[in-house]
Amino acid sequence: MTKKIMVVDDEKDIVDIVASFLEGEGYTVHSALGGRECIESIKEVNPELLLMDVMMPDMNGWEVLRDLKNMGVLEYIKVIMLTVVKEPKQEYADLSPYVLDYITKPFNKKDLLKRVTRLM
Amino acid sequence: MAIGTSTGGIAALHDILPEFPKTNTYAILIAMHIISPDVVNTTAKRLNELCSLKVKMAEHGMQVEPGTAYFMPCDYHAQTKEYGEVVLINLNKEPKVNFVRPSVDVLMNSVAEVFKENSIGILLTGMGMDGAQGMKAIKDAGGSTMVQDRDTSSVSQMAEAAIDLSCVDTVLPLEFIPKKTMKWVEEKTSNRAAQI
Ligand SMILES: [Mg+2]
Repeated sequence: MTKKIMVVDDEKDIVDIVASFLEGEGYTVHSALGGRECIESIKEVNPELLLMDVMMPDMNGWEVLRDLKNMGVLEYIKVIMLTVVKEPKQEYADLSPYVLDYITKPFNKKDLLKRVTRLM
Repeated sequence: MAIGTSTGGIAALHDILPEFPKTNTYAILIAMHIISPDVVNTTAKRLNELCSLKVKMAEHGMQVEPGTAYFMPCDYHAQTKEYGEVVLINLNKEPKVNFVRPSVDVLMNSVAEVFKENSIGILLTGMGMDGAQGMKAIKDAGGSTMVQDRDTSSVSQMAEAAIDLSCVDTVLPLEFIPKKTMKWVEEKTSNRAAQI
């Protein structure tokens, strides 16, 4: 059984490139092109790892994590933020125990795969 | 010595913990903000295979032994307590501090109290402000403090909160942290028999 990763980003180019990196390593990748799509499909997809963008038009990645936390699913999912924002805001400090890593765009393939692999 | 970290901490610990030599002069206590016990247990097991130090999960009442690195378990605060000749790990369910449990502040405050000038506090990559007060307690007790620099951190909020309290002796890229730490351990050991 291959490990499932869900990539959440409003930019389809980024989703596609990240998915191709991860599929090359043998992971099964599901994508969501926004926060709501992620929330709607999370239970069905049941990913082991979530790669989450922050800046998305429908809702920001931190708010998505808050909703997933309230749904009771977040403690079973590993989360890596994948964002152009250099540092998270202090107002999201309570989500610190849920976010295992934080990768800043532009990212390189080797670093991304290294950090994902460390968590799987 | 106490290490505090959260976001990015698993990768950072994989990079540095194997570089620490196994000696009988110090122990490492690690508080990492992670919600999943599975993730912390797996990390401890993997690192035990990669490290010359023994790496294990801390348990309530466990004696702190040199040459060992302990991960504090999820959802408990952890403190060191002196009982006569030995130092034990005390776990408790007191309310969260800085939104988290285990809190780095709680752990470091207790390390400062028990080990005083022999204590070393290290903050690695991480979100939030937890750990800054604990680093200050270590510094105030005469101990030594170090944080991971911004360039090698996934997130440098924890380190920067400590820097803002003016309690950080040195800021280093991740790869230089083990060597500098061991230099401090040697200095403290030669000053007097250091225990942690
Ligand atoms: Mg975006």
